[in-house]
Amino acid sequence: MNRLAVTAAGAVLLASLSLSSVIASAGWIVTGAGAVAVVTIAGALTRRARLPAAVAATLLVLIALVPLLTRPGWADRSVALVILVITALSATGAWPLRGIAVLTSYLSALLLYLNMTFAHSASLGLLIPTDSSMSALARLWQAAFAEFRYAPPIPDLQPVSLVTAAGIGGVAIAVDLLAVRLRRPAVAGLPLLLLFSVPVASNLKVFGLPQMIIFAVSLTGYLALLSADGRERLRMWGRLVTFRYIQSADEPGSGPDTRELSASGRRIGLAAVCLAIVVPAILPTVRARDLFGTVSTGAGHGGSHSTGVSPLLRVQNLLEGKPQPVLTYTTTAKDPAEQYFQVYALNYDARQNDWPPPTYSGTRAPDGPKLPWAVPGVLASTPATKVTTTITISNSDTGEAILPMPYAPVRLDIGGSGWLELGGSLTVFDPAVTMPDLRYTVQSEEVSPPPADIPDYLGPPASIFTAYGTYNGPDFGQLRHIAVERTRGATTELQQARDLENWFRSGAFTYSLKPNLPATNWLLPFLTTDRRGFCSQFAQAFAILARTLGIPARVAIGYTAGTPGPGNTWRITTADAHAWPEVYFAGEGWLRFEPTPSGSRGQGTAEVPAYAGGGAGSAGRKQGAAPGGSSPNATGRLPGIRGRALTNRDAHLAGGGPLTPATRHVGSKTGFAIAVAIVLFLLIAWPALTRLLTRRRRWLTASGDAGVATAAWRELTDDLADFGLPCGPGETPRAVARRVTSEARLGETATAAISRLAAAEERARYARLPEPGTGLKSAVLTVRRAVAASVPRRQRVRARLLPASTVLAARHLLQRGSEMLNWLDSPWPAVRRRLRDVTARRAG
Amino acid sequence: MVTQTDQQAGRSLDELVGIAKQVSSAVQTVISGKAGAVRLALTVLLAEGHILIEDVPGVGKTQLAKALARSIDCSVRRVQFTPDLLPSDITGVNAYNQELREFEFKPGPIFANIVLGDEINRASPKTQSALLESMEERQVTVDGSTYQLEPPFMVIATQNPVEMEGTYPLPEAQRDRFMSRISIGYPDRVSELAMLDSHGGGSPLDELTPVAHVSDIRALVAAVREVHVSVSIRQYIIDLVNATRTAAELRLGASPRAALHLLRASRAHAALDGRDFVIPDDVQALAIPVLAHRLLPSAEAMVGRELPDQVLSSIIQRLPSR
Repeated sequence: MNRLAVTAAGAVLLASLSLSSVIASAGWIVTGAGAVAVVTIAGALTRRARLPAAVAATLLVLIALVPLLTRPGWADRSVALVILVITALSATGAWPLRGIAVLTSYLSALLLYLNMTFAHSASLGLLIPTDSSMSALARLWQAAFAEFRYAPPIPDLQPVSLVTAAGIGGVAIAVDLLAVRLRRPAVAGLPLLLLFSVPVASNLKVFGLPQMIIFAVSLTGYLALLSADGRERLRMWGRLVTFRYIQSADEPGSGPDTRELSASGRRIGLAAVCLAIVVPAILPTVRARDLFGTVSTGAGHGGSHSTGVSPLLRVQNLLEGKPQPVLTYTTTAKDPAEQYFQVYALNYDARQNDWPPPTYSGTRAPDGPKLPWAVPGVLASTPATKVTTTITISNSDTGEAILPMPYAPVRLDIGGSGWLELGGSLTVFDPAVTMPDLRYTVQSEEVSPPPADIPDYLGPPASIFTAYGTYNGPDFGQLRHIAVERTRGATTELQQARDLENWFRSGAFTYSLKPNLPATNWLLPFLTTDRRGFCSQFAQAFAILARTLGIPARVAIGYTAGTPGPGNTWRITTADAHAWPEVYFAGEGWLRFEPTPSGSRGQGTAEVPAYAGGGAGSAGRKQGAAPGGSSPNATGRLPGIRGRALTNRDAHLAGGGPLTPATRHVGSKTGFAIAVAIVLFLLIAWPALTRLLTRRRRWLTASGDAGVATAAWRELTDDLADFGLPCGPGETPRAVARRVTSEARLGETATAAISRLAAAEERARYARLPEPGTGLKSAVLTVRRAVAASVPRRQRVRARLLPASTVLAARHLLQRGSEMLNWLDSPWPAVRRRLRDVTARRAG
Repeated sequence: MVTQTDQQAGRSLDELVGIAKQVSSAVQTVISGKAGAVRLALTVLLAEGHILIEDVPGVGKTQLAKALARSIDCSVRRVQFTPDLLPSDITGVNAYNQELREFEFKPGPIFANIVLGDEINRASPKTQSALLESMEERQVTVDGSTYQLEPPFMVIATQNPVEMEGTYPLPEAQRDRFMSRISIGYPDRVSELAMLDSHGGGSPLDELTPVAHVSDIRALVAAVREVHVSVSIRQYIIDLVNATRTAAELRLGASPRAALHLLRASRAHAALDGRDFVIPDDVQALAIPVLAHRLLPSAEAMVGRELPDQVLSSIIQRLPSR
């Protein structure tokens, strides 16, 4: 196995490190490394002499094709036999056969490795694949794609590992083929780019310093591959001569002079760095935050999730589409219409100004057979109704493996063993299982306390308050003002939440699936001017307003209760997809509210829970929750304590605690546009302006005959540069005059004028006395006109708008800048010299 | 002896140009179609230098030297260099005069205004160095007595680069003494035809009559010395010479003497154009004839067939003219 093959394998491994930002843990690295090693060994086998290579390939293919060969049908067997025969015939060395054999060897080796790693229990002797092991692999493969719907980082589950190892192995095959077999290592960068681009293609929101370091480290593999190839090529010519010791003039080397080359390298490097900084800065699609990580502009609903898996966006898609059946269920709930089926619970992220999909951090497996777990925030003493719901997933358009369950589930009976629970959120999923035709029974605790029982004097735990009770997004002041206005007179959190809910449902807002809201910072317009939206906007608006008041709130995604079907079954369709806010009450846990208008002018099946002012089922509850008002019982029971509770929280709010974010200044769009326009204008007009000013200054400051002659000559050379006839460094005035006369085919007058200018410049520079400077300015004008007439119109316009003489000056500056980097060369020889001196002194 | 009279010093550049033109056209009646070589020879004469003509046999090396000498009406001597030539054959010897009963100096062929050294590389290094010493110092020392050589004094040495067997090629140090090296080259078709016509009957050299007196030449040399060289031109010459020393393609760069020769030649070149000041064009025009024969290409340049002429051209192109 040669050095190049090992370097290629190393490059793939290093490049695969860039996947670490999208996959949560590090187990996949081992399987990926195994795949690369297997591919490299397979590659080495194919590069052996013809006969051993053919034998090895045939053996590999034979083992890999066992599932096909053992199938009863003749079609599969024939295909397998053809492949086998072609591979065996590659021993003859015929071109297409050999190529096919190489490819089959790679693929067979990779397949055998994947089979051995992920499906060895179903294999013969842990190694030889069988039909069942292949099916297991296929199942895992399918399951993995269900995983990829979620925002990264995704957990390192077996299906994910399989796809990752297969992907890395595939890239390793491509790299080995290109770099080692075809000796095109530069092209091998393309498959490597696939690995690099995975984090970019995913909707990974955080791309910070660790990712940059990983990218830089990953890239070294590719560079090493290029370098190794260069060395290999040199070795073909004999002993390798390194250029390491050829350096500056003070230490002349005997080898080739690479100074020019390294100077070019530095220039290219400098230009690349400049471009890398400048281009993203002027691209409108790149936000300043991405460059410098300081300004947080944020993207609002619908803005940043267009390609991703935003659950909020998915709700809109489901609602807009043709209704499809999702599930049917039977339930023991007293009032099934109030029973919502939760899939996710989302938390607000101020950095993105959005409600990102849940991440898989903190995933835990159920302890017992399935559940139960304790419901967060619910005290053991809190009265709760046990409800049993049996759900049959009839169809799922998304195929996602997250179970819709009535909140809060405490026991789940379902087949399969891979069910996981998402970080204490009571969201249950299994990445290896697809949804259609699932059937499960959920026992849930319905906490629907009468309003009077909802205490607020305990206050939420600090962790809940920090995570859900604050709002650090834009327009905090205005939003809080609105929230305070709308909840004036409320003395408890429950009242405040209900006031908000009532406001949203009061008719001031219109339900519409096509809201006309801006993509970013849409909340304030939604609340003030354009009050149109659907459940997604209502839920977010409610939760954020509640948070500005210091009430912990989140947004849940799932389905409403749906519609009653035949018998006592209920049916949920995609038209029942819904988003709703949940508010945390100490002792009661998360309680849902319903700000979205329901009925024919709203979300059809949305129901307001009893404690929040609705509840068709209980007259008593309804009585205690008159819209807009607060229950006399509720306010009368513990007025002192409740009053104190609010006062305390308000003091906390006013005291600059975590609820008071820094005031943000969001510049107006018009101002920004004007500023951009001015900057653009200055950028465009800068060369022409500079040229004009230079001309004026030149003539104004020229004094004496020699001064005028020099000014005239410089003006002329600048003009010539502008018109695309620049002067070379070694060109003398009369040489310039000669060249321009012939190139621009100047007439007699212009020829005389340019000769006069050249002669005047010569005398000014080299003679004892200059000649009189009269008429030189008009001579310059004459030549300029004549030259302008001789060049194409495009060149004339360019000379006026983008004079090359000013660009040349800038280029000269840039060159000087790049020459300043020459010191990069000098330290190493200096250090070496110093070391050598020290060693010599010691030896002496 | 150099004796500058008022008359000589007063010669204007216009007269110089006139005389130079006459000499040039007179020489060109013998060597047709080689105006550049003739002008260069004239430039070296006025700049008080010496010329090395390096070319294949039969292209008119000797003819050029003879024609130049004859058109000026000055003394000209020709020495055919052979391996057995002794230094005294060039410088002269002290012979005993029996009538006067004392040693008398019999001047050698070096005592002439124009000395033509034919095939200089065929003589032994000892003889070569005797000639070269007198070229540099413009005096001859024989048996302790020093004899000055009368101005103008110019050696035109020829060398055949093809038949190198049995020759002693001039070492770098001695090549450095020649102000310029000329390669005459084959004439073009028209010139060769004209040459066949004019030379068919007899040698036009015999019909050549002097068009200038040796005193004219002295006056012209004095006038050339007055040509102004600005600081920037001097700096330009230094830059050029330095560039040859640091160029990676050259193993040996130009010497300070080369810089001096370039300066003098540039003066003469400017004067021949009727200009009383030197411009970079003069320096550039003479850089290759004056510097190229002193430069040694590096091994890489030799492998790449990059001649000093090409290296100089590229230096001239990229070196900013001040």
